[in-house]
Amino acid sequence: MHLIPCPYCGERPQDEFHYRGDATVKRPAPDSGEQAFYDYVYTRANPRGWHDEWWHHYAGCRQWIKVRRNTLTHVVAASAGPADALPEATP
Amino acid sequence: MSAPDRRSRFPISRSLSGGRNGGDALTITEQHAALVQVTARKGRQNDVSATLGHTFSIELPASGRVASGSAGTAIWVQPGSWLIRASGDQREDLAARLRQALDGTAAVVDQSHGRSVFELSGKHAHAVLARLCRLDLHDRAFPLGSSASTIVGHVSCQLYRNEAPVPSFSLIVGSTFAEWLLDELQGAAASDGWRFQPAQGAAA
Amino acid sequence: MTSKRLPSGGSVDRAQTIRFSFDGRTFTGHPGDTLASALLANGVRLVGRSFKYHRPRGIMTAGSEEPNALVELRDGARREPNSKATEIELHDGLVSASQNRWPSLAFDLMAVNGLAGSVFSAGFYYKTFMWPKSFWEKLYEPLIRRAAGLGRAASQPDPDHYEAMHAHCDVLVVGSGAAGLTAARAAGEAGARVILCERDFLLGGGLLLSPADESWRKEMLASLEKLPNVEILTRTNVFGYYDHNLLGAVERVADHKVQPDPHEVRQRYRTFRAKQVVLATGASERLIALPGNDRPGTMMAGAALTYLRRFGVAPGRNAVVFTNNDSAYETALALAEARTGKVTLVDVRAQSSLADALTARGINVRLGCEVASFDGKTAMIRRRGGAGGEKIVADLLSLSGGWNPNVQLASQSGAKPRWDATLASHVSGDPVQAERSAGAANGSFGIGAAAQEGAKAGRDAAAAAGFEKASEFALPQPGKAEQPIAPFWEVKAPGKSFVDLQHDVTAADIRLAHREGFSHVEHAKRYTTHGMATDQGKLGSLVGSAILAEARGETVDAVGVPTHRPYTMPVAFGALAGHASGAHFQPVRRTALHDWHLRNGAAMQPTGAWMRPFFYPKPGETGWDPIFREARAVRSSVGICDVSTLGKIDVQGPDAATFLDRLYINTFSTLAVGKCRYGVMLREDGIVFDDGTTSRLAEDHFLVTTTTGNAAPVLEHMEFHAQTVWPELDVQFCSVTDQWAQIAVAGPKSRETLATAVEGLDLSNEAFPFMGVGEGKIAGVPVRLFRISFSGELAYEIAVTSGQAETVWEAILAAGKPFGIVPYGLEAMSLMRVEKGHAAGPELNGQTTAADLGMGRMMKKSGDVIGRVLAGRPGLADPGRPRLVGIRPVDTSKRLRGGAHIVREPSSGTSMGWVSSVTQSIEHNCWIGLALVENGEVLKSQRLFAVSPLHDESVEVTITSPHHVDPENARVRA
Repeated sequence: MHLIPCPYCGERPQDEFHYRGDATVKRPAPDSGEQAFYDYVYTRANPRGWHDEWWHHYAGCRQWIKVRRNTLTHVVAASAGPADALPEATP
Repeated sequence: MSAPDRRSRFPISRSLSGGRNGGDALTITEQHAALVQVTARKGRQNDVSATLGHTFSIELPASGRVASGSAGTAIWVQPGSWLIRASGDQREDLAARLRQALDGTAAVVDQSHGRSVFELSGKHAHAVLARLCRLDLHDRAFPLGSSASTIVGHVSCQLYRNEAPVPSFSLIVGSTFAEWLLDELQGAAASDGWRFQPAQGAAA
Repeated sequence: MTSKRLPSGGSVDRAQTIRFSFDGRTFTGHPGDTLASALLANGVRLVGRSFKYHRPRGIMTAGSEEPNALVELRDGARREPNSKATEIELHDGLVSASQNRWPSLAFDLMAVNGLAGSVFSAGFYYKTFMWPKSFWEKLYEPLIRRAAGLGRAASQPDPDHYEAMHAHCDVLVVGSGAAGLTAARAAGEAGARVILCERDFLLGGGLLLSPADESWRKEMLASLEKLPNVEILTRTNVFGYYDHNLLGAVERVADHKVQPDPHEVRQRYRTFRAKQVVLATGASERLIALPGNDRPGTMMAGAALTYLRRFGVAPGRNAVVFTNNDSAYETALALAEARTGKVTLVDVRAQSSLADALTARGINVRLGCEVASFDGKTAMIRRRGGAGGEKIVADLLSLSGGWNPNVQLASQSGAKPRWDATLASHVSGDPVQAERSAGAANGSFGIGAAAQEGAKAGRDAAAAAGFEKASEFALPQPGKAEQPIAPFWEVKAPGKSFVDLQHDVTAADIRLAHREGFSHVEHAKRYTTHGMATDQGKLGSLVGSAILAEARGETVDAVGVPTHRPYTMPVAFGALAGHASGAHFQPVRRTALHDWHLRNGAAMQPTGAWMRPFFYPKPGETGWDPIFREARAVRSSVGICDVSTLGKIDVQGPDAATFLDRLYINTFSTLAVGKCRYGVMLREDGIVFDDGTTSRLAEDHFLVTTTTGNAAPVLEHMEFHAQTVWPELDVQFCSVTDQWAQIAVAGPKSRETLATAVEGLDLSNEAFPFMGVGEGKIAGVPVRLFRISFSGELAYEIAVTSGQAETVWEAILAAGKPFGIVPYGLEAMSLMRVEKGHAAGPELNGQTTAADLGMGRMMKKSGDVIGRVLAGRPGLADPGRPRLVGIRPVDTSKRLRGGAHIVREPSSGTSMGWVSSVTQSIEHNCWIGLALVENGEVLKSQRLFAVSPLHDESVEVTITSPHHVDPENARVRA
């Protein structure tokens, strides 16, 4: 049971959240064509290490927060609100 | 003319007790309350805060906090959104009054029937919640004024501390989960004992 | 059988006698005993048979590492297999039985397996699986099932209760030996919230074996009890260390009673979220592989000391103590003190400064020697690596191959164990999480050293958690330095030398694994099953690695030990499930009308989280009777149904309409206030996500309804897009599912019914047409009415605040009485929706597009819509895809089956689609169905076959429109 640091509620157990995955992909403009949408929906880097992810605090503040998590160690380095940016880089 | 309002979610009219030692260790009380969710429109949070302050004497608390005033209690639920709790006799008009006062600055949604409110009081309140909730509710971590949306008994709840001589918490849950949550609370309290008091009678 | 209880000593209460049974015989013991110590005190030497070879086995240890003394505890519904006698707290009325023996413990036919040992050698499962399948099923499996297997679980439901409890602390201390006690006190006196967990029912760990330190132990316990911020949990075994400093444990609340007290749980699953953790888990003694090291009478030296000192029980008469380190000298001295017989100490080391002291006590000390074999009566002693030797009469062989710090929890936390050559063992590596090890767990042996290290660990942990108040208390003096251990793993001599007693893995099996290519320690573990038993390899894991290292020609360090994973000991499922079993398994939602349904005889069924009425049977009705009756009432007159479970989402804001236009494939910005519209939303991949009606209550206020099952996912989907994709849109959401009860009133007489019940709203077709939304009052209660239909009849849905739902429901029933109104359940609703051809769950199955469901033309011509682009992919836009159609059997007496394949000929192996929903139709008096069939549009009125190989059925069907009733949709507009 991980602890996810919600920027609004503080550290909360993982079971209050739903996971969505890659928070770096951006929904393309509606006229960007099939390939752009295909990449948005399906193409993922699946990194070993730091990964910016969407987590929905469904049992808490109902915000889609961004969480920077290390997929190898489960260390969480940072989190941010849905429209806020995570820090540039994590060592 | 006002229609009968079923105050209690439970088909019983008197208090019950159970568990090892009956009801001295924990009292669960169903509360008849008016509840309205107020969500500020984009960029109008200051207007909402000001209106609630001067019209309703309700101070909007910061995230993770609850604030009580003479007219009612404001519970932070999500960024820009609060649950306003007032006495049950305001069920019929609280939403309308808020909607009128906040016109154009907030979405006002009546939840008086959408949520059930339980008060948990007694020396075993912490131990009972520790069986149902993963948050640290120790006085040091969750002092008076703290509030949390979290999972209690496997369902989403709003949980905050009450000012009382014994440990006391308010628990707000979706009303269709009320029977489930009461059952979970009673199960978690069985090893010490509990008493349950349903909200009394029908409104005139 | 003579008593082996010594005349004095130990922490048992000799003043009280308690009775217990083992294999049907009654024995006595004392409070403070374990089942193992009481059995030993009663001279019971044989306690079980081994797993594969059915060799007789005795008590080997005094703790959780016990491989042999596994018993069935209690009987009947409370029977629990594989309990370790060494961990069972003796209590009056305890019932226990040996296991894994047939027909009896003393005479076991399966011991012949030992003679056929080659069949059961390393990897036998894998080799056996390669033989013909028929052999496996008919011959080998029954044989192995009888031959190999541990205890029997109870066959009745467990009558006891379990629960979970979640705790938080600044410092969690695991273990209550000298290190644990000082850590807890130091952290507690610094002001931190401390929890101290001890597996045993007594606090003290190794201190319980040291009479000289008893007063210090008592003083420590007294000072801990005075600290209100320190919680002490005994009988609590920490079994796992997880991410972000979460630890799991099981507290055996009532396992020391015949049955729990009223309202008491048997076991409690605990989680601890700790800011800092101090692991004071001690060390485990490892065995030495030698022929006969599994014979009853073999016991670890530390265990022998425990039985002597803690329980006042002599583990044998004439003893041989075999060691490679100093710790076993204490055992030899304690055995000599007990004066039960001759004591011989065999040390593989050529020199020992402690030898003279032992000789002075009459102990026969043999340096530079080894025990070449043991048969339960005699031990063969010889020069190290020599031949022949001298037979010494001994009924106890006490082994010490050195001590392994218990690094399991540290290792689980991510700290990679580090090899310590001085100890010839692993110690915990650099911490990854907020933890530190202290005492024997950290390789610091001896009470004085452990106490000192524990106090420092407790202070440091408290400081790291922000509590720096200093405190001082007396610590025991550090002991003298020990002589170096001589790493020693195996005596090479003919016979079976065991490295894993519970799984009967021998040194030869390890070498065989290496020869057959399973040389990696993880491969060897799985190939031989070494270390996979309930004792998790605590006795012999490292010994196995050393034997593997020798075979590989490498160091033990290079070979390593298998990764430590939770659980460190077996944990009952019941404890992990806690309260969440049976009716408490998952949350149950009840609508506001739940009690009415119950009072009126509804057959309630769980559907997802909700309890819903399936139907309302009348006396004498069976099978489909109530469903037909309820559906006919709706089609011919009027029915009433609780549809409160539909998801309802309040959507407000200046941009609400713009948002809904992007959410749904059709347009909502053009919807007039006071009207509702059916909408379909897609996932971004172009597949249908959900459908429902949305009403416009004001210019900037909509009420969205979702299917029952998708209420939560749809709200998350809306929040995702509003918060992250289009944060510029000013729109607010709020679930109002629980605020509003919703009541469907359907049938040709629904308007007349409501006309008498509703005040303040003109229900005429002109004033309130199909898809109208209005407000009125029923029985004085404000309600919102929607003219929508799921059944295909003229129908309304009425939303009422849930507290007044029953009042309104009853008022409608009263108004409908002249028309014979009936309440109808989910089954009748489902029947009518299949007749009407409405897509529901089976059709919205995550594979279908809007076009597949015949709603392709709903997609608006322009504008951004979630899913629009990918829905246009060739694979999803292919007109040949399975399309929603209706099916009816040509022979109307035939039954249809959901899941059947649609094929051109019964013999065809090519499926053209599948049957998604079926029902018996009251309009057509036969089974009808909905199906998704390739090119379904052009196959209308053709005859195909619905085949169900599962039922061996093939039914000729006609492809029809999905609308089995009223395809012109006239009734709903009437």
